[in-house]
Amino acid sequence: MPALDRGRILIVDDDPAVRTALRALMAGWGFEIQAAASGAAALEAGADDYVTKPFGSGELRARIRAALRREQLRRSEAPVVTAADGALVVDLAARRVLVDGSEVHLTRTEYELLRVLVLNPDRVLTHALLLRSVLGPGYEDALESLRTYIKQVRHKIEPDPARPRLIVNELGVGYRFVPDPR
Amino acid sequence: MIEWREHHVSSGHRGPLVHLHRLGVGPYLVAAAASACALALSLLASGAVTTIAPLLFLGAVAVSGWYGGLRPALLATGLGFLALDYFFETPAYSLEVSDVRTLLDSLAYLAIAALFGLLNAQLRAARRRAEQALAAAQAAVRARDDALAAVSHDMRTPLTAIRATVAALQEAGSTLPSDARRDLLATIAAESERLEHFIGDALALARIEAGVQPVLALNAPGEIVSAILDRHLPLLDGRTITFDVPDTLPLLEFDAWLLEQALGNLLDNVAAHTPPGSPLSISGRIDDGGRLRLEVADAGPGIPAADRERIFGRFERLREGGPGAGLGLALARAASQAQGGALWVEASALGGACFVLCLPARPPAARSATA
Repeated sequence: MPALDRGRILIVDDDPAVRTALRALMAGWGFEIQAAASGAAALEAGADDYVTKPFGSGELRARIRAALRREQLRRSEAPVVTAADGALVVDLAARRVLVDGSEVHLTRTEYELLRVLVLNPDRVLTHALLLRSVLGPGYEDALESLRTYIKQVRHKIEPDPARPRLIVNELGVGYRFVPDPR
Repeated sequence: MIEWREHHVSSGHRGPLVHLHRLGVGPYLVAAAASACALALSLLASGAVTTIAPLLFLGAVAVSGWYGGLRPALLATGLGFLALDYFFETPAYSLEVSDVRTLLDSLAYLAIAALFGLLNAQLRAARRRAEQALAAAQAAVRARDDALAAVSHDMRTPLTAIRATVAALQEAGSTLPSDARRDLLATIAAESERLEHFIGDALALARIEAGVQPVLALNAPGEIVSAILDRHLPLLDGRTITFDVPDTLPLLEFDAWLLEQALGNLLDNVAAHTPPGSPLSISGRIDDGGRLRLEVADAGPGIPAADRERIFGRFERLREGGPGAGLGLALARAASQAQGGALWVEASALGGACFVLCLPARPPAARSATA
């Protein structure tokens, strides 16, 4: 066996026999192994994203691009997020939000919510995750508050809050920040 | 339960007897009438054959059990017991019982008649149940055959188109002009999409009909409807869309996935039946009963009043050979009803059809009040 860099491998397969066999095999090679039975379980285990069948090539490309962009964002020191062709600018270092060039004031909670969203462009963030990041642990069920904060943030950053383009609802799951709406 | 009522059977014609059944007194009237007949016959025959009276009263019990069930049979049993005692046991024309043997006779009659009535009522009920089960099974088999035929047709048509197009490309692909090749590839893309859509709808409908439990969560109606519209926007190219579901509507508890199954199919329906560029209006409000009322109105050809219920049936199309598999509106209605809502169609102010989707009032306050 040639020397392999020790790394972490995530196995995703719905067949438990395949998972067990691959886990034993690759653990023997010296890798740290995590296994998941589904895309959703893989996300929990730290995967960047997943697509479900049937999917189109356009969607696959968009997901890969989004994952790469997130990685870039993670690596930058003091990021400034620009969205909607510059209509929205979130300066995370200066804690400033500009809409169409002029600064808008967001409350602490509103800003926190927007910060979590823009740091994860094109990624579905669950209700529970958003509530935990914004209100802290123990508030995961406060859906009513989340809906209200989302609405308030939209009124400050969206051109038409009733037809939101930047912060979109992912039915039954959570919200997604779309930096380049069509 | 042994008791059985006539209105369980959905046959066409009903006599006056059956109407009395509905009131609940009919079976008892039958019991009384049968007992009276038995008494009359017994009195007529008593001069000749005295032993015939108990048999005639047993007959009345049988008739009552057959038509009315257990309780009317017990009524006939009681009436027969009293009549036998009063008219035929010594001393006659008195309820007095003269000796032990007569008493035992009467009690034996009572027990046998009650048993007889019970068995008869059970027999009748069992027969009715068997008939109903048979009819239901036959209807289910017919529905399954229809569904299978429609499903296989709707799955095979795009598959056939895809295979034929692939074959054409394989055989003559290199010699075809590039725009002809592009057209063939577009056919494959469109037919695959059609197949995917159909399978998605069929699976969703099967899931809902299997009795999926709605996942009720607190939602803002406006943003959900907006998100559903966004997902179906590519199909609605060029239509002038008026969106009026204000984000000021109160938060309501509903299942967003089920709402998408309903609303999404209404939008697909608009895409299939109205000309590109025509106006489309999506509006939402809370009605007087606190229900969420969503309206999808188009300017297409509309739906004649006579067809406004039929189009929600499975594999029904407004016109024979029309677009779609005839599954979309059936799914839309099933999805609406699965969370206690309703879906129907009216004429729209835009000149076409207006689909109205109502979701029950389930404000967050109602939940915290019961919690």
